[in-house]
Amino acid sequence: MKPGMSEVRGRRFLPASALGLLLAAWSSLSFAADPLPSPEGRVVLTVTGNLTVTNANDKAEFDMDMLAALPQHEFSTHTPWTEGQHHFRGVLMSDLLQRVGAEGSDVRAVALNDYHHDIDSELVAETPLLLTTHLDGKPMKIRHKGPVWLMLPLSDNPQFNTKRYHELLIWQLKTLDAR
Amino acid sequence: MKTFKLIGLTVITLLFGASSLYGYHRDLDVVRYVSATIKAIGWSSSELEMELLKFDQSLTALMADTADEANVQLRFELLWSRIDTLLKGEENRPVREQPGVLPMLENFSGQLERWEERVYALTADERAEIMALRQELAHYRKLAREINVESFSGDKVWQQLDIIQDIRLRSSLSLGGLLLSGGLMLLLLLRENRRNRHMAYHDTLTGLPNRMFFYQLIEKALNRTQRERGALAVHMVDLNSFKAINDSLGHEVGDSLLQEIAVRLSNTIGEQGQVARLGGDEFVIIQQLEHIADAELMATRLFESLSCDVQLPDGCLSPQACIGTSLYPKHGTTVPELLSHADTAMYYAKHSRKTMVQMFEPGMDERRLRRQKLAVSLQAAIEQNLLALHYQPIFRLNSGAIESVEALLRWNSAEHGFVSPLELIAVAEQHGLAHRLNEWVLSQACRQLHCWHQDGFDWLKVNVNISPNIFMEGELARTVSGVLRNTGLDVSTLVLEITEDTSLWDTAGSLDTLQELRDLGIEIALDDFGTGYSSFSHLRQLPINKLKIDKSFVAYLSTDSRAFNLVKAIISLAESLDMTVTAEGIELPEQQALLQQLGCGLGQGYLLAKPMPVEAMSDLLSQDQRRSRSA
Repeated sequence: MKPGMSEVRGRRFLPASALGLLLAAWSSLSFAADPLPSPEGRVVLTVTGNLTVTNANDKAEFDMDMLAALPQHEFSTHTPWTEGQHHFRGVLMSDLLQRVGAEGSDVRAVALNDYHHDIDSELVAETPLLLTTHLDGKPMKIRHKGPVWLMLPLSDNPQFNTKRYHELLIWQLKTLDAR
Repeated sequence: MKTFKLIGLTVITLLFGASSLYGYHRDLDVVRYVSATIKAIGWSSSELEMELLKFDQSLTALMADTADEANVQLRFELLWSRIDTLLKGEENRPVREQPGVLPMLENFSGQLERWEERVYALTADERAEIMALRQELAHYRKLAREINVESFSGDKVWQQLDIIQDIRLRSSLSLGGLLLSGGLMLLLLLRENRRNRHMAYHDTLTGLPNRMFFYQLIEKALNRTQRERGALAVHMVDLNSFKAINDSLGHEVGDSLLQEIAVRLSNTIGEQGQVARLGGDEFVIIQQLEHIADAELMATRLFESLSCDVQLPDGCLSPQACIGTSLYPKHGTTVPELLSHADTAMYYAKHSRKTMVQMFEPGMDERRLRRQKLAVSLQAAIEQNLLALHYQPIFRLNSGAIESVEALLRWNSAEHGFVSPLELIAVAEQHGLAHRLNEWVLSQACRQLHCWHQDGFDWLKVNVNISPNIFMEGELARTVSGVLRNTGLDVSTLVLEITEDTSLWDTAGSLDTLQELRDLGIEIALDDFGTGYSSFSHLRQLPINKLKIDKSFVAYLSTDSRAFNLVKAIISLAESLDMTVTAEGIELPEQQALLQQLGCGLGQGYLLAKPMPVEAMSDLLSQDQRRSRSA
């Protein structure tokens, strides 16, 4: 486990996530002012829209290392699209949006195949939506719903395991557009 | 209790309704789920086909140089991802379960793995390789197309959609049917319940409240009267000789009679009160009183309403009833008190020769108790032969010779002292001892007559009083012939005295019995003639050969010219009908003289001889014989 990484176990997710959010809020304050470095590797996620922090043409582009530098969260869960339980690790969507100073009433999440879904900003703030970068400890290829897959700890939080939340869990996430 | 039932019923109804609705919604849910699944399958298959198409297009674009290798790789990855998604997880299970889909997906997945190296190595200038890939891809495009078409428009899908439509319709119908049948069931239940309650509280024959309901009614009436400080009357009505009517005319007649009585009582009391049938021929009426005097008026009106003739298929019946009345709060304040007092009063009316309608009076209970005790003693007295017969001679008025003797019952009880014959007979009749008493009197009298015959008074006859009730039992003829056989008496020496103070002679059964006796050769005397419900039709129908003029006529014979003329008329009437006349209660010589003058054949009374014990009678007979010999 990396130093400074806030650990979230699914079973204690909600209280722990509150602590995590606090930590994230504190840390984002420190690096929200920081300029975002340019990606060195392949860009896996682009944030567009109303941002205060960008690194390329009003956009904020992230490669895997940049995502890995943000506070990490993890949990294990079953999903309707996988067999058995899997381990998800990545960055909280709220952390990422705060890092780039995104503002707006909602966020449009767009997938590689251009499938998209608009997520309410309030929902983003109160839901621990995880931008999964590692499935069972490994980065995901596109064929396995990577490189970024939005996920919620469904098994431990039955309220998330409904059609309404399933629709948010976009795989092959390409862009987040804050509007 | 009622509220409890109502709550229960409501809960059951709600539960039934809720279950029905729940079932209906669950059906719809299933239908919705199935149609959603069908749509999901359709969507997934079209997505698969599209990804294949896009991959194919990316290859074409690469060849045309309008897109690069990265685009091919992305499309390849996305296609793979689509296959991967279809192969895993709960969401796409229905798709995999479609026939032929899983093997195709697995086969395709294997193909992707085989293509991977070639796709990633592909460059724009390798036209042959691109063409080869497209060629191989074409096969899968065709498969995906087939699956897609099958999912959207295959027979099975249409069938399923038809079935779903059908299920929806049937669900609605079954819900309708369920609710309708439930509603009807509830309705039937309520109706049956109401009917049961009615049956539990009402008498099936007359429709009047039954005994159980009556107790509730009177309890309520008493409470109300108590609150309002008012008064009420309880009238107890009992038909006379109802059992005899039932026995001789049949239960159907008895039932019609009871129905008619119920109607008459209800009509008479009207809004002033309520009628209930306590059972058998016993009715009770609760009357709300404004004035105490209303009670007696109503009792009389009830009595009169019952006394009218009842038309029956086979003729006419004049029912007679006795009514006993008790008053709240004068005679009692509780239901048992009022009922018991009304009962006592009714009982009095029943055994009174004067009245049929009787208001309760304090002290009646004691008298009733005495009668009950008397009945017990009487039964013992009959069994132990403690009763005695006295005899009063009947004389031929012209010669002064004894014609016959009338047997008169005497009971000097150790416990009760001398009991009057009237009370004695009343007690016997009330307590079902009449038959045994009659039998005892008959056999005793006949045995005594037999003795006298053996002593040489073989011309002597004996008159025995028969209570009318026993005629109704149809046993009399048998009893009489049995007694005559046992004593070896000649039938012509027995005279049965009957009274006409009953309407029961109107019934065919009694008439037959009487005729049977007359045919045996027994003489029948009509006792107390002129005082009862004298009807000339009795004289015509009844096989009577003797009339006994009531002593009330004889008593006024010398002082009242109307009495004189009546007696005169009776004697000539009897003569013309070939009947012998006996004058009863001769107490004065002038009465005897007048009777002789009018041609009355026979006479009896204190003037001539009082009733006397057997020994005295035997002596008198001896004297009479000596006198007639010397004459």
